Amino acid sequence: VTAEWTSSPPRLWLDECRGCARRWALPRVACPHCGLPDPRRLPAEGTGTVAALTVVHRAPRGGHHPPTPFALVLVDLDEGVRVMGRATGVSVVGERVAVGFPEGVPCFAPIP
Amino acid sequence: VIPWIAGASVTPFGRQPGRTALDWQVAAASAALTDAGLRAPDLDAVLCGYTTTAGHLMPADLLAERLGARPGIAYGTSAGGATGLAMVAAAARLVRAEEARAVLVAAGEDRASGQSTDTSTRTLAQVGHPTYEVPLGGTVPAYYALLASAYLARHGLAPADLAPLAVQMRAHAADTPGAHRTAPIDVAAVIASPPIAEPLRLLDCCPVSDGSAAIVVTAARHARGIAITGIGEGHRHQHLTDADLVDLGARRSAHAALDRAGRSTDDVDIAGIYDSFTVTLAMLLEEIGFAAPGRAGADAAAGRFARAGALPLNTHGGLLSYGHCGVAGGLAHLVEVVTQLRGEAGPRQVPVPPRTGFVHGEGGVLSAHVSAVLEAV
Repeated sequence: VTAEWTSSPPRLWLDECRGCARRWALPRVACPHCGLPDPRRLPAEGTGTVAALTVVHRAPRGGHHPPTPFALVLVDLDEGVRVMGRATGVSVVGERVAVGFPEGVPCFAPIP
Repeated sequence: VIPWIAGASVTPFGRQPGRTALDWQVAAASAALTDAGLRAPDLDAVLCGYTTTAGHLMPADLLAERLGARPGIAYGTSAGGATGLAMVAAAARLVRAEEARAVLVAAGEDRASGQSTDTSTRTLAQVGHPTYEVPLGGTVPAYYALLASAYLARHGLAPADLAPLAVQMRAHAADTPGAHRTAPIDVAAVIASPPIAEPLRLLDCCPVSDGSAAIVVTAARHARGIAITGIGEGHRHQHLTDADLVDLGARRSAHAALDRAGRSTDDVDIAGIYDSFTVTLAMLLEEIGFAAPGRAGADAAAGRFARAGALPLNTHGGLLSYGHCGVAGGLAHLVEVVTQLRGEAGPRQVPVPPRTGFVHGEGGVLSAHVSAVLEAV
């Protein structure tokens, strides 16, 4: 699976079933609802609503992570799928956010 | 054919250097065989859980050879924290299908002393998606902290509302020989403990331990045998990003097991439910139907999960305080429920003799679910 964040320009993508039109974020080879193979890969706008937020204080040496503390979020994109990202300036579940890629990975910040 | 749990054993959990993963497995397996009145050559199946410290390609053959068993069936199993109960479910199916008459299920490792905490944390974090989650820097505690954040927001709760679950587990561990963490704690201590991944703090998280557990499942009824009357599983996602937080698979798994046993949640006298973090326990109790939505912490504060409460829960102290050494951590709940159903728990025996027990294991990020109903017949 290609990490679309690292392509140029980086952006978030989602899958849509060609049969039942259901959508999901993580790539899979067939729709989990109707079983139709070969879903369509679509780009997302990158805006959504925070579904979960954590501030990580302990992270292992030798892992992929920014200096602690750093924030991670689950975001429900406006296209109807959930994705994970880093976050800056996000304070509460329910906040409206938009994605950027300052360090090559998705990082959500509040929409002013 | 009814599968019977004829032998069950758990070692002390904690930081206990000096034994390899295989040494730990042998310790619990030998004790479980003795408990069942069997010897290794009597086994016709050996199932063994994966380890993070040894990472052997064929742990069941390795264990069988060391024990002196030459079974017709042997294989390792990997389903994260659900592995122990997944092996019990497999053992029950082998016995019901008359493919085996005596099955050893074993797990154990030197998870605390056999590797650094950094290595352990990095290894466990690989349950995240390699492309879309792991590169963000998450750890298992961070993934569960995301679950906790969503849980608290949905129910309008504060982090302190989960703390009574940790307090109850610690109170149970204080009376259990071999528990990793026994010093008494209260809600204030949980809230004052260092943040790991907010909203989770150190005392919301289980410790990493060394130790092992094993059981023997037989086709023949044992004098102190406990019947496995129902098993169920649910596997709805691997990665947190793909999880449906209101249909994680726990309810499906639990109710498949209860239905097969002809039981409901109201019939359960004692439970052992996976509790890697306080939020894990809350979400499982509520999705299965042992607590109302958002109420698991309040129920714990009211004493509902104490030994004398309406639903004695993790009476050994659970992962949160008996400790967590990987696959054996999830099996320890089952060993405790078996011990209580046999009436052999000594000073920590629940006051009302239990007849129907329920155990539930979970692996990944509430990804793999396995449940079993156990009955003193």
